[in-house]
Amino acid sequence: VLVAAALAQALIVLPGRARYEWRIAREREPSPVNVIAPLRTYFRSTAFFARAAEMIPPRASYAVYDAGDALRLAAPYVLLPRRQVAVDRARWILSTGGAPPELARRIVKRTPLGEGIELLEVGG
Amino acid sequence: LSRSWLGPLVLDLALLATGASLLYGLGLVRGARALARLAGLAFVLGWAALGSALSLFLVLGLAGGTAELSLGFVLLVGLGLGASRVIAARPARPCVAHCRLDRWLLAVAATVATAYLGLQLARVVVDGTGSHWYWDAWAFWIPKAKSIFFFGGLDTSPGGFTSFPSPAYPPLLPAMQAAVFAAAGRADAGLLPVQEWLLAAGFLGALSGLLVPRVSGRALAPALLLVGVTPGFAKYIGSGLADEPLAFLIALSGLALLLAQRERDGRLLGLAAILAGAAALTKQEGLPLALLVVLAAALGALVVGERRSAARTATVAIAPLLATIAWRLWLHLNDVHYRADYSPARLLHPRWLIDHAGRLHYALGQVARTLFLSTDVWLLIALLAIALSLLLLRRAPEIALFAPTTLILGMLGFDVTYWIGRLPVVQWASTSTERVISSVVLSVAAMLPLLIERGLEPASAGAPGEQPSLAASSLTGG
Repeated sequence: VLVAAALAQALIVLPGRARYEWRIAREREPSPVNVIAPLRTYFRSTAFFARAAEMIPPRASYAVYDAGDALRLAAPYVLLPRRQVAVDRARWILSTGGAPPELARRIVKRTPLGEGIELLEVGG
Repeated sequence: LSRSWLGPLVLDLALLATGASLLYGLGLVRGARALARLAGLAFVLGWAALGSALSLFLVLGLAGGTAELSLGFVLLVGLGLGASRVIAARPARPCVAHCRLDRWLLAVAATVATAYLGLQLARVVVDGTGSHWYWDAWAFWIPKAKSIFFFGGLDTSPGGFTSFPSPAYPPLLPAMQAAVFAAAGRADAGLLPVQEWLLAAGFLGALSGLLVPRVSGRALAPALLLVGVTPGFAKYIGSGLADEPLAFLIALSGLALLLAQRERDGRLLGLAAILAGAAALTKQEGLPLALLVVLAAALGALVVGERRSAARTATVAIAPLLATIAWRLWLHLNDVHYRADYSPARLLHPRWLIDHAGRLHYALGQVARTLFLSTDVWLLIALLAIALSLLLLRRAPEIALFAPTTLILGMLGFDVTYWIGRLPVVQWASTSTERVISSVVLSVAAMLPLLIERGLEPASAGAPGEQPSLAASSLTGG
């Protein structure tokens, strides 16, 4: 009786659950970076990551400046093998608040990526 | 087919061959029919063994790429073949399930479970990296795997393996994810969900392969179906998280321990040890969970006066302990600084514990609700296991004690962890309980067929395949 009750519950839950999972899968945006859920709270689109990945050379160093933890934590998922390092050691900076004061003079290029994010290239 | 798909396919065949070799070495498989029946177990065992070998190579400073994969494969296959010379073959077991009238039940269960698994495969293929929306997956599990692939091992410099959150988590899962990248020749996270699906299918295959000759279809079919269609089981396939692979390892290790005790078979202890060792390398809680199933199984043997059996069971704990020591040693030698999510030292400060009793209160409710009342996630598995165990406690305490021990101690373990943790308990517990208890739930789900089988038998009968003395020494004296 116990096993039958558990099975009956499983079979009642199953169709609804399967429909739900299928709907979630179909409704998700296909972009691999848009899966990073917390970023969707702050940014309409996370396409800026794709643009950053095009501009920062593989194996180069970058930092995330003046942005929330979500952006800092999510960046390696997309940007590896680029290395995330401290701001003072980075050749590239993803920033939502302009250049860090100590590096302001060394910024050689600023590229708006959208969503209020800039990519800064630091000169030697 | 491009290398992106051919490479992982070759890797999967290597996992299957590795597991099959080890099963051959342990004497659990010595023929084509047994291999076909235990193919699911071979895949999971191969994943566990090769994952453990890669973790060890990484700890030793090697890269974790195709060379190390090949080395691990050759060593493990050689180990299996070598062991087969000293470990005698296990005698073929008479088939219990197929000899009874309930064969159709297994067919129905297999059909429904296969259809549901097929739906899950379609979901992960369509979803791709869309399955990686859990914080832990994109914040550290997959970046760690990519860092192993790109930087050639456990890189401790900025931006490397130890720079992500939870740096002290052991490396088996990222090592195996990196192995997929190495096989494919590129770090495409979209390849991982299908691999996780294969592991989940392997787990169900392992359960059925181990239990088909041991319990009747009436006992096996509903239990397998229940596990297969449990939303909590399907939900995390493709997630990129370590919780579900860990749950598979713990559940199969616990089942192997119970079968080893029941049949007094050291070969099954070897199987349990490999799985438990891999569990300890998969996640921080792998060690306590592996020790929990060892304790729960040993307790059952102790209660029926089988001290030797309990002692043999306890030896399995050596494997996860050694694995943990190796990883801890690497962390120490590489001076990896991390702040643990919880501090056991807080248990020694009664004042702190009293001041934070609210955390325990919340955790008790959250964990108990998720374990027993989350009917849309884990269904009635825990309640069913408790109810069946209570009904069989006098008749078959050696197996009936396993579920309550695992559930209650597991629940208390998570409660205490949340209590002494440093993260805000509401956010922490509400976002993690459902998945971290999966090891506990699947452990009791894996042994449900044994409980159901005993429940279906006449009160005076011993378990099929059970040694006479074990049945005779039960509490009932039966």
